[in-house]
Amino acid sequence: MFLLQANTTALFSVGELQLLAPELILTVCACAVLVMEVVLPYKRGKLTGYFSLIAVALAGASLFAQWYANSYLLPLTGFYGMVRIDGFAIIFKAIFLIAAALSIAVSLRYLDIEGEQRGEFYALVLFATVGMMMLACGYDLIALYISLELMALTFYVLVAFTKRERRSNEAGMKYFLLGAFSSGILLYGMSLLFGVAGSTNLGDIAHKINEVLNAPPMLEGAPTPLRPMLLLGMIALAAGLFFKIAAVPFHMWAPDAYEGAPTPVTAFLSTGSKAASFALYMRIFIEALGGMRADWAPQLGLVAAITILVGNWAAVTQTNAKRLLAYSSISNAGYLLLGLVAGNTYGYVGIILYLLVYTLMNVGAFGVIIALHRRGIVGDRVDDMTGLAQKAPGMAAMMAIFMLSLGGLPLTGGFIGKYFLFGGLLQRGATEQKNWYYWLAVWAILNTVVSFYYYLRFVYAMYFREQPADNRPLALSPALNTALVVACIGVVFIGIYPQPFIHAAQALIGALAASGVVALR
Amino acid sequence: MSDILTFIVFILLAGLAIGSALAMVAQRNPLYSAISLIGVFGALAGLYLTLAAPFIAAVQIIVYAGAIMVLVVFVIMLLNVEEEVRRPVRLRYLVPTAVLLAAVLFAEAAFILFYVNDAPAPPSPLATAEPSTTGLTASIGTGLFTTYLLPFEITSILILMALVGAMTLARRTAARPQDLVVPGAQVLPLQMVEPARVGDDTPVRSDTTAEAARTLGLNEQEQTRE
Repeated sequence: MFLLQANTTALFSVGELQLLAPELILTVCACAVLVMEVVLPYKRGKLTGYFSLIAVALAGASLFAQWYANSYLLPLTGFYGMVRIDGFAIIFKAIFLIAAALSIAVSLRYLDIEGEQRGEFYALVLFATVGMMMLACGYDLIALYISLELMALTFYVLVAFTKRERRSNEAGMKYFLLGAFSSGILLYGMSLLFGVAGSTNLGDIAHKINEVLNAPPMLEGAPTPLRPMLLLGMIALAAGLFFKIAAVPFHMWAPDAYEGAPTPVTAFLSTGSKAASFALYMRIFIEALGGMRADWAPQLGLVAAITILVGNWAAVTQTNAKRLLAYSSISNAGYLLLGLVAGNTYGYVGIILYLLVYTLMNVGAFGVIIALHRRGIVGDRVDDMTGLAQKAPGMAAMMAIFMLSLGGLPLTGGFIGKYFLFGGLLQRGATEQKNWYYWLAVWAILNTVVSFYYYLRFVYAMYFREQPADNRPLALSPALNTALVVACIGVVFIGIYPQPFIHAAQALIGALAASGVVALR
Repeated sequence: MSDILTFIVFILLAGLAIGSALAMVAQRNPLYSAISLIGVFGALAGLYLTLAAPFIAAVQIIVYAGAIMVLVVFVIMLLNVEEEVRRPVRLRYLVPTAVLLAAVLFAEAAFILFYVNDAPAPPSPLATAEPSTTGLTASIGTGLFTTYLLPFEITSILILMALVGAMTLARRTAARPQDLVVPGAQVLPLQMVEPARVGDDTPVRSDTTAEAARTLGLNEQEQTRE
């Protein structure tokens, strides 16, 4: 009490806490999970998993309430401009929560099989989700960087979680070393940006950058003096973020980390972490560096083109399903970057929709791989799918749907996402009268055709190859089944009736597209 | 006058820092390297002082030269690290690459230095009437609990998470009963050595951890907490 009276300036109003209600719920529940893990016996260990699912549901409910109560007041800012709750933040947080819930549901069984049913796993997943959600709503470089580290450090531990597995340890080590290095590059870019702008707030940086770019040249024909520094910062930032989203040439860690990590972690890493990194990418590059679009769009287009090429062609030769999906995830990062290259409402809606569908179908695909996982048998080769259609017709059908959706077949969610991403590119090409946008779209579509080859290998193995001797039933669990069915229904529903999702995405992301336009002028 | 004095102090401290850094790299005994590193940290703290940042200087001494170096020395003593033996450089082609990259980095830094020098200098903090409070303990404290309150709190979650993660990775787990330790060899799954002793590995269809533990062969003692 004395302290409050002595200090005339209040630190913050308690009302601001409601801006972070979902994150607070998750943090408290994660701490509760840590306590439960100590109190409960090993046999009851799974209760912590169910509790974490409830925590995610509670956070989701509070996120929905936040949106429902404030939908006309958005954007809300708080904590001295550190936090900005807008439609962009809310929709990304929803995606993270979906990814977390599905990943927890598919990991319940996996950890049993591995004999690692420990509460820390779920606590770490929740902490990672908190980091991701702070990434979506942070509006300041410092808050964003610390949130990114919270997410990344959690994933280093999660990737190495099954300690008895050599591959898991190796994957954790590789991911940690490369991740720490890329983090340093990212931080270097941030420091250069701060050096130019003199502020870490994204809005201030955008203003300052526009000032720098529009400043009259001191000498005739000389470029603006701070421009090289700005460009260097931009490139360092992009390089650090390319690592996080696994874009070529910063993708080397992905196949090893994805293959070695426990499969539920791979699922979460390839969806949640990627979505969060995209949120960060969009925040920084659209809101802070929006004025430099002419500089970063071609660079991004080139990286996207190479990423799509390398991801798809490297996936063709893989025999390990997790590795194959890792390369598929690399190529998908390329497709998602196209939405940023397009930089219009179409492209942004495409990113949101594709990330949502990608989360559902990728966790679903990894869920089927988890269903094949048994003691002593890892079950993550493409050949392990052989005869799945006879053994578990439902499971095989769902896997087929996930694979076709990843390829982008019409009537699946993957098609809707790709349609918007490519459509945005064509629209941008039409408005800017530049041909390379068209060529990029054609390039992406051509490579999509290649991707069908390796996605259909799963379908071929499941349906058309001879049944092997191994006829034992799969390791299923109610939670795993529910997660798979939910993901499958989501993918198909978005594919057949996408209108509500498109409208929601447009309504929530609209402000961002508008801000990009303002920055362009 | 004070400018010259600052310059002399800067030269002294910078020389100490660079000298200690070189000594750290050149030493063969890891312990001497660690002690040289303390010299680097101390000199850096002095440099921070000349930049009117007493708080960072104090933190530098307390955290880096104090806590972290104690840890480093501790690890060196615990691991009983011997003197480094010079081995031939394995990746020879990396040496010219490193030199080249270092040259590029230097060129880059020089370019930025000279280029940005042409830019109109920002108004010097000394020119303003009031002395700057940046870097003072009070201003850092105020900033930490007002503007930067949220990052501060996220950092606390980060540290908690790091603790939990470190415990998770470092905790010793007992070998599973189905793993057989062959003396002088690696841990082999019992399945590979004596398939008969392992029961049917058909997974149970039920969804309880207890039953899964039974299938896995984890006995009761194993399941109790360590």
